[in-house]
Amino acid sequence: MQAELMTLALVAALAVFAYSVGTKVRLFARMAPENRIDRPWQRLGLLFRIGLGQSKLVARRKERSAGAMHFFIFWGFMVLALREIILFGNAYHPGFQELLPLLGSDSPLGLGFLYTFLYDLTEVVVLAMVAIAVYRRLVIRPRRLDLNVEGLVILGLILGVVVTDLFYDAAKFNLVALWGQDLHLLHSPVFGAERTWAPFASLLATGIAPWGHAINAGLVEFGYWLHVGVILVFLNLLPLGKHAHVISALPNVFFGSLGYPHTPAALLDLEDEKAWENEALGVTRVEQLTWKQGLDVYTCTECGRCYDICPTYVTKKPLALKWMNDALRHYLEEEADHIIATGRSSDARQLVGDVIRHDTLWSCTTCRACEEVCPVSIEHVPRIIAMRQAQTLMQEQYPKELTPTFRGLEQNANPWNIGYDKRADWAAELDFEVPILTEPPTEAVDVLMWVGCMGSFDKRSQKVAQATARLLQQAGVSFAILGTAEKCSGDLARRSGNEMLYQALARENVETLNGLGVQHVVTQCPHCLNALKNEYPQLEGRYEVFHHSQYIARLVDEGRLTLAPSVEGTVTFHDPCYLGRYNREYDAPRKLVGATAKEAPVEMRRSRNESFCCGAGGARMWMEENIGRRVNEERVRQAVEVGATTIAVGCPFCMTMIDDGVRQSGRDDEIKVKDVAELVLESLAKPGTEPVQH
Amino acid sequence: MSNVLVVAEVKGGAVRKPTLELLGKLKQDGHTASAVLIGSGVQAQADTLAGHGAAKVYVADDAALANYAQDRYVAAAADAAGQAQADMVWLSASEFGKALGPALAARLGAAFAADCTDVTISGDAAEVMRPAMATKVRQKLRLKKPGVKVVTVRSGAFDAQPAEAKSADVATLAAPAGDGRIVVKEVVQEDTGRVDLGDAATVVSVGRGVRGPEGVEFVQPLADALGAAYGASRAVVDSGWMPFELQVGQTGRVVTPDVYFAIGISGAIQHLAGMSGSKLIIAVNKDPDAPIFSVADYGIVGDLFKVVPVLIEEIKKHKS
Repeated sequence: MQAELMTLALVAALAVFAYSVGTKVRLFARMAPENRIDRPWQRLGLLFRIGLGQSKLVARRKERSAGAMHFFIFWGFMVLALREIILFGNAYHPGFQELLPLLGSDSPLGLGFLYTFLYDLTEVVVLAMVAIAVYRRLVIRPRRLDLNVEGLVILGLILGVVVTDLFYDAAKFNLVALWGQDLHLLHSPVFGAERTWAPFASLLATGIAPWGHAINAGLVEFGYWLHVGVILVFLNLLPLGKHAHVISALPNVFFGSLGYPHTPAALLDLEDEKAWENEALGVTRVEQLTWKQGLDVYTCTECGRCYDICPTYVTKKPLALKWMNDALRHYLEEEADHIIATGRSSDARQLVGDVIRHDTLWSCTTCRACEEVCPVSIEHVPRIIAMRQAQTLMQEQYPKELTPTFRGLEQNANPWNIGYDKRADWAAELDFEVPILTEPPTEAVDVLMWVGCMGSFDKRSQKVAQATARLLQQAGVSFAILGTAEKCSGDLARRSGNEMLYQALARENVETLNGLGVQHVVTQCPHCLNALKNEYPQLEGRYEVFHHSQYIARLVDEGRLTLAPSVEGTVTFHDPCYLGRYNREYDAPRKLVGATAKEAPVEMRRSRNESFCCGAGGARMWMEENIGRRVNEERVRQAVEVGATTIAVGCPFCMTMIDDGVRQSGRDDEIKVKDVAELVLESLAKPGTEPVQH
Repeated sequence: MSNVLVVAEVKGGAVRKPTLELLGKLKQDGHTASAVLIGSGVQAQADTLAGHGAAKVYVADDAALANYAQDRYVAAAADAAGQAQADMVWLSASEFGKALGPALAARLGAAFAADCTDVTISGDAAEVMRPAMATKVRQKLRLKKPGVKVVTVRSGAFDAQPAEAKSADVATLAAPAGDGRIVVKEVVQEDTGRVDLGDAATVVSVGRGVRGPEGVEFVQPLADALGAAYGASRAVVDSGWMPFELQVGQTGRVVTPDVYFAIGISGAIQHLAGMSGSKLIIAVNKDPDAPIFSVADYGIVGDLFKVVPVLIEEIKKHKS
C-alpha cells in the first residue's frame, strides 16, 4: 500500500515538474543559440568554486554573514538529498538504508552511523539558518532584500522539510525504544543503535515520549507523508518563481562565461544583409537573447547584491538589475507560448521601450560591479550591450547627445570632431622628440605608446600623456607613437551599441598596427587597453598591451626609475573599472601610489573589484546625466569620507569625472586629482636620495 | 548672363538673410535674378525681394502652404522655374533648402550640388566650390548636364547688397496641388523669449565660475547689452542654475557665432567641442592655466565679478 501510494505521488509530482521544466527547456531551445558546453573541465572548475564552494557568497567581507547562512542551507540541501533517497526508498522497502552501499549497519568505519549524525546535525543547522533568514527579512530588513510572500513560503517549506523529518525520526525512536517495534533502524555491535547517533532527534524523542503510543505511532506515519508531501510541493513550486535558482543555479554557474571578465562583446556580422532585413543584429526581441541569457533571468533570486553595488541604482537611476531580471522573466513567461509555437514573440509589447525602458537601458555604465558580486554568474552587461546594439543599429533610438560624438568619430576619429591632424600636437610641448612610427620594421622600438583621444586632445589628459612620455624617456625606454594614424579605439562606440562604427575604427587601427608589426603597446587609457587587449583579437589584432601603471611599475621594479615619496597628505586610489574589474589589475597602480605618497595611502570603502564607477563608462561620458544624483559626485563623497587630499586615478575619463565632482563639491582647493603617472613623475628621486619604505 | 531663380525662405513673416545673400551675389555678378515666394500671407515680402534685385517675383500664396509641405512646395518651385525659364535655381543650404533642393532637382531632372560656398556661371555650365571630407578639402565641381541646375549655398558665403525701394513685378502662381502623402499638422516651437543660441551672432556663456544662480543673473546684463544669446557650460546646467536647452557643448548645442564670450568657463574639452567653431572667442577666467585660453582670441585673467561690470559699462558707452 505504501509503495503504491508513493509511486502515485512520485509519478504525479514528477510529471508536473517535468512539464514545467520542459516548458522552460522548449523556450530556451527557441532562443538564440550559444555554445556553452565547450571546455567542460574548466566549467567544472566554475561549478566547484562558485557553485559548490559558494565563493561569491562567502568570499565578500561585507556579505559574509548572509553568505555563510546561505552556505549552510546549500550544503544542508546537499547532505539531506541523500536522506531523501533513503526516506523515499523506505516506502518500497522498510530499512532501505541497509540496501545502500556504504550506508548500512555493517558499513565500514560506521559510515552509515556517521551519516546519521551528519544529517541530524544538518537539520538543526538548517533550522537555525532559516530562523536567521526570517529574522533578516522581518527585523533587520537589509535594503537589498524586498520582503515578499514567496520568500517566506519557501523558508516555511524548508522549515517543513526538516521539522517533519525530525519528528518522524523522534517518533520512530520512541516506537522502537518504548514500544518494542522493529522499524529497521541501523544497529551494529560496534556502533550501537541509530538513535545514539542522532542526538537532536533523540532529544526530541525524549520530549514527545509522554504523548503516548498512539500519537507517536501517528507521528511516524503523518510525519513521513507530510515530509514527502512538502518535498514534492516544494519541488513543483521551485520552477514557478524566483526560487528556481535552487534548480538552475548550478547549471547556470556551469554554463557561465569562461572568458569572464575579459569576454569581448559579441562581434556582429555587419555584412549579413539578411540580418539587417530581419532586424537580427543585437537584441530587438526577447527571443534573440541567448538561451543562457534566458536561463540567467530564471536563475535570478532577487537577492539584490547587484542593487547596492550598482552606481546607477545608488544614485537613484531607474536601472536596478534584479528588477530588470524580473521584468525579463515575466515578459518571457508572457511570450513563452507564442515563442514556443512560432519561434518569435508576439508584437504585443516592445522589449525595449515597454518592458525595459530606454532610460533604464542607457543608464548602465558597464562597470560590471553587478557581475562581480552575482552569486549565480548572471551576465548582465553583455545583454545590455546587445539591446543597445539593436537600438542603435536598427532602431536609431540612442540618446541624441551621442550624435555629434558619433559624427566626430566618423569624420576625425575622435569624439569631439577635432581635426585629426592635431592628434600628435601634445607631444610638441615636450623638450624631446617623440618618434612617430611610420613604417616597419619596429624592432628598434620597445613599445608603442597608444595615447588615446583624451591624451591626445583633452588639455588635462595631455599632461598625463606628457608625464608618461617623460617617464618612458627617463627610464631609457625606446618608444614611439602612431601620430595622426592613431584613431579612437572604438570603445565608446561599442558600448553604445554602434558596432558598425566600432568595427570601422577597430579594423583601421588593427590594419595600422599589424602593418607596422607592433607587438607591445602601453596606454594610459583603460578603455583603449581593454579594446586593444581583449577585443581586437576578434579582428586579428593581437598585441601585448600594458596599462601605463603596469609598465611604469615594471620600470620601477627593474630599477630604471627610482622613486622618493613626495606626495603630501592623504592619498587614495580610485580603481578604473576597465583596468580593475575588466582586466584584473589592482596592484600595479597601488604600488606606484604607495611609493610616491609620504603617508600610507588609504582605501575608500568601495575599492578594488568592488570599486565604484566614476560614471563615464559605457559611453556615459557622452550622454547627459539628468536622472537622480550624479555618480561622480557620489564617488567624490566616498573619497571625502576617508579624508583624501589627493585622489589618484588611472584613466582619463575617471580624471575628468572625479575632477568635475571635486569642483562641484567646492573642494577643489583641498583635493587634487592626479594620474598615477603624474605622481610618479613628481616623485622621481634625484640622484643620491634613497626611496623610503612604508 | 544667366537667368537664375532664387527660392526665397520666409521665417516669422520676413525673408531670411541667406535668401538676400543669394540675390546680392546674382546682382554683383550681373545675372538676371527672379525669385519665388511660397507660403501663406507672404505676398507682402515680394517688394523686399525686388529691392534686393529680383526682376520678377513668382508668388504662391495659399493657406495650404502655411507650413512646409514637401509636395506642394516642390510643385510651386518647379512651376516658377518653368515660367521663369531659369538656367539655375538657387536655395540656401538651410534646413529649408536641404529639404526642398534635392526634391526639386529630382522633379526637374536637374544636376544638383549641395552646400556650396561659391557658384560661378560660365555659359551653359556652372562651377561650384564645396567643402568635403569633413571640411578637410574643398571640391570644385562642374555641373555640365544641359538644362536647369539646382544648387544649395551655405549661408554667409555671399554678402547681401543694400536694398533699394522697389515694387515687385509679381506673377501669381496657381495654388499647387499636393499628393497629401506628407502633411505637417502643427509646428511646435518653444518660446524662450530670448535670442536663440543657434541663430545668434553673439553668444555669452557662463561656467562654474559664476558660483550660483545669483552669478547667472549677474552676467545676464552683459548678454542683454550685447543683444546676445545666453548660454551655459555643462556644470551650470547640471547644478540646475540654467535649463538644459541653453547648454553649449558636446552633449548640448553646438554654436558658431561671430563672437563668443566664455565667462568663468575653464574650457573642458566637452565645452570646447560646442563652441570652438566661433569666429572670435573672448574668455574671462581667474585661472591663467585654464584651457579656454588656448582657444580664445582674447583673454582676460581676472575675477569675473569685477570684469563683467566693466565690460557692460564699456559696451553701453560704446553704443551710446
